[in-house]
Amino acid sequence: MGAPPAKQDSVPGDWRTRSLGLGVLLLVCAGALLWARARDPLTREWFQLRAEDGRRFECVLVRAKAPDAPGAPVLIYCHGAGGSLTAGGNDIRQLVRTGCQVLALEYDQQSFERFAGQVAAAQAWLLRQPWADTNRIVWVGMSLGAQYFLSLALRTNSIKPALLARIVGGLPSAIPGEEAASGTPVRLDFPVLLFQAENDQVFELADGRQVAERLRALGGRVELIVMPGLSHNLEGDRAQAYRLVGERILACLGRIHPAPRNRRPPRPKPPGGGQPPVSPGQA
Amino acid sequence: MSTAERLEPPAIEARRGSIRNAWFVWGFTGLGVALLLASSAEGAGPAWIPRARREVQWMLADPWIQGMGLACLWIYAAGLAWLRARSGPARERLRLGALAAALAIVVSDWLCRRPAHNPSAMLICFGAVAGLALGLWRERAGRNGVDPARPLAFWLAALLAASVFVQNPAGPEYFYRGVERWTGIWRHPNVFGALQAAGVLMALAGLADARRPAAGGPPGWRWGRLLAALGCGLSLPVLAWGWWRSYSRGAWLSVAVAVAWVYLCRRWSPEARPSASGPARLARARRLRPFALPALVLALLVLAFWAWRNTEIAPVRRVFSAANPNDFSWRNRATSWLGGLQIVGDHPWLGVGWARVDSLYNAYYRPARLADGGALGTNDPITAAAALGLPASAGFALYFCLSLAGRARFGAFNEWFAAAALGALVTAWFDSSWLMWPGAVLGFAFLEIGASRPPAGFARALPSRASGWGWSRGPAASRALLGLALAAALAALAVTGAQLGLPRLRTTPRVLDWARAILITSGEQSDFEFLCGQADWRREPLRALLDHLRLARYNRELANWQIEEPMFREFVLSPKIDSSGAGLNWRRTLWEQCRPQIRREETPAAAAAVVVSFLRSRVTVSDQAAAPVAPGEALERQAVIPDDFERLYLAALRASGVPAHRGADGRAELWSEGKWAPAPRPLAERLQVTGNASRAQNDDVSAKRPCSKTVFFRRLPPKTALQARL
Repeated sequence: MGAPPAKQDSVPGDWRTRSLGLGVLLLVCAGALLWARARDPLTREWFQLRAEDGRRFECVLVRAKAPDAPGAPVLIYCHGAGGSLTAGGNDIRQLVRTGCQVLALEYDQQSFERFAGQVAAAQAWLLRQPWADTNRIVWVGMSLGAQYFLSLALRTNSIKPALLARIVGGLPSAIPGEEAASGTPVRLDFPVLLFQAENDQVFELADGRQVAERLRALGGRVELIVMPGLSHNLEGDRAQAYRLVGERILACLGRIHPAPRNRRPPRPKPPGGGQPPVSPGQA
Repeated sequence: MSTAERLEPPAIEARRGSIRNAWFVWGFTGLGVALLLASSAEGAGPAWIPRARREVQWMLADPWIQGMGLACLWIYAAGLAWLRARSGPARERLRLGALAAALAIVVSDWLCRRPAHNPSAMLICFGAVAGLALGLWRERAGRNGVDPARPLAFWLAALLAASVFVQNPAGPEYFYRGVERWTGIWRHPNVFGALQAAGVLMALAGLADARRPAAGGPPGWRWGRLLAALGCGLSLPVLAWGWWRSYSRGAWLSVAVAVAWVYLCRRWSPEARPSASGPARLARARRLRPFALPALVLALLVLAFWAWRNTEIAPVRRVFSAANPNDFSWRNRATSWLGGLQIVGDHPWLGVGWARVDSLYNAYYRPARLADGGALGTNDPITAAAALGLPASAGFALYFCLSLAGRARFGAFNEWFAAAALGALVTAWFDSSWLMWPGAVLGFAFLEIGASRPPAGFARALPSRASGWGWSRGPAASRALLGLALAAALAALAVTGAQLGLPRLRTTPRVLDWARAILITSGEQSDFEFLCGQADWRREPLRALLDHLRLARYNRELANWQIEEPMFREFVLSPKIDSSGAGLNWRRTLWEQCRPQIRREETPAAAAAVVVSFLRSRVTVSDQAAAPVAPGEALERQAVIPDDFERLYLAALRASGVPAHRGADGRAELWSEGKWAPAPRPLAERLQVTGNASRAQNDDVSAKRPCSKTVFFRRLPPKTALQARL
């Protein structure tokens, strides 16, 4: 009653057929994977940067696969309190669809000092990337991110954005000081976009108007955009609101036409026979 | 003298073996009942079951307990695999080695990422251990002359048949076109359907075993065979009824695939191959014989699809909905597979971890037109590949392939258990049956029992060249079957060619005549004539006209509001937005994008608000947009001039079933509560802006101007990738 001999298991010719089947299966799987990647209009790169204090923080860089139009800004994006890089993916993609490139940070929500170090590290990293237009680095923050960004911009002159966009932000504590940490007067030499929700229960509309007035008093070009009917979380029209944020940023920086991004275009030719765009991983 | 002393030694050993096996069978039965109840819905069975289940869930939610349990399970799995593989051939060692390596990746992935609230890793490891133990038990029990696969098949069929009689006490929750879908004691009809499909295949295994001549085993064993066959025969109709009433297409397909697989294994097994001798013409005909029956069935299915795809008979419509291009159920799944594969492509080696697959897909990979991203969770293989990476997936794939290949020759139980494993893989692909408690255990158990060697007396006698399914029939019957299959295949090709090829032709008067004769049903005739007279279709393919006709009528059935016939024709069906002569081929694109967004809206005005928000979140409206675009291309171009946006808005409203036209001011108006009213406007037109942050006209955008004190936008020397990331 023992088991039959092992050699009865194999039949001549069977292995050839099975190898063929396995090869076809592998080809189908690899083909499906390549096809899916080719249909993806975006690239997402997850990596970690190290701040000056030695702590690492996670970042995701989302860009369109289409060749970047001249003047495509790079957005450093920080989500709101309690958010995360994963949860904010739809907002990031919406900004990318308007024609921007987005570097989103998993910043320290508990410590402003660490946040400042992380933004400095991210900006320094961006300045080294050949694909990034360093004249068009924009800071975009939502809620807590907006608070931190404005505080940072008002406390230091060492790093500045080309534009600051605040989505449903409030009145930060740093404005009354009007001096940077180094003691030199704060220079508000970049435009500011303030997006406020009409029915915001966290940062009321009056706070937004007050911020606009104070920043104008500092000499800044400030635009206050009130989104009617929306609450703090932009519920109901969040995708549209983020689209408008992207459009306003592009309009402020002098370019309003988003490139068609919904379908991956054909492979780009290097301009003038030069080098093709280099991805951050290759830089 | 005691009874034991009167018996001969081999008989004593056989009886002891039977007692041991009986304990194992009862243990397995208890485990099966526990697993079935553990996966049941709230409210099914006694009140202590959900309490006990919650206790276990809380206990398992502890990361340390999960980690320890996973490590133990992997050690058990590796030990059992070693016991199985040490005396087996090289292929067996490769098969079990692949499983052990894949499980090692599962465990190490969990230990590194610790997704405490995701039980997938535990499910896979537990299922693998249970399957390996059952396979080992079958091989060891064979020494006593018994085959435990028989009681296993019987008990599984009986248990699952009994579960048909207990329906969800909370009442019916799932319907297909008004017909209740049975869920049994489980939460979802797809789970119920997958388990009933497994039960059907087990019952078929028991019946197939009854056809085999009785041989081997202790004296009572032969009676047990007959009783098991009788039980399987009685369970089969009950199981088949539950399987059918689940309305689960994945479960239906799994049984079809499993039966086809058994058929093909028998027809193509080396023992069943016809002799190569004889004239060359006859040899070619013999080679074609195995294709005859599958080709005939396939051709009849295709013909039936074209004849009854619009039938109102719910089960038939459900079967054919898998090939319906307007069915969002399967299309959303296919779309989500694409997103899952993109996750795999972005994270090929280590995956993203079990806990992040759904959230990452929803945030970074889900297309905007999908209202939710739950469809990805219905596909276990892609979910596992996204969570664990390609190496683990390759290990599992190798294990599955080697487990299924060539085992049918071992006997009826092996081929039917392997077929059941294949069926479980099919339901895992479409309905996520593997990553749940009974599914994981059953799947691995089917694979391992199908791959284990049966007792020597239970192996199937090799079929002679003249026996087996179909081979005993004479050459005349075979030739008739071949001829019938050929005729049906030609008819299916002709009908399919007409149905798919004709719509691709440019719309000329002759093509319209052909369409009236072949494609248009009597109910569609008047709307078709209306559409023909609405616009000049000569530049469009016939498909565009048919899309307008069929999607508008179909959407009218789906909409939650009533539309009167004149309004429907003039302001929903009509493809002509205004007198500008914009493109006519927009209905399908916009319907596919907008319909999922408005499916819960109750009024045209509410639907219009959702539509305009969706459209404006996808396109930019600018006076300086490049060129006018047709409504069907606007979503892809993403930038339109205001006039084009109005056209797009109107087209999207009509595609969503909202009667709409352009008002006197050129803006969209919709028919609501018996009168024309202005359509909701997008958020961008309601913004209140104060101040201006735009650059002055004389600002040179391209100039490199420093806006930072320390960095003058001089490019720093590029670093290596490692330096840049550190």
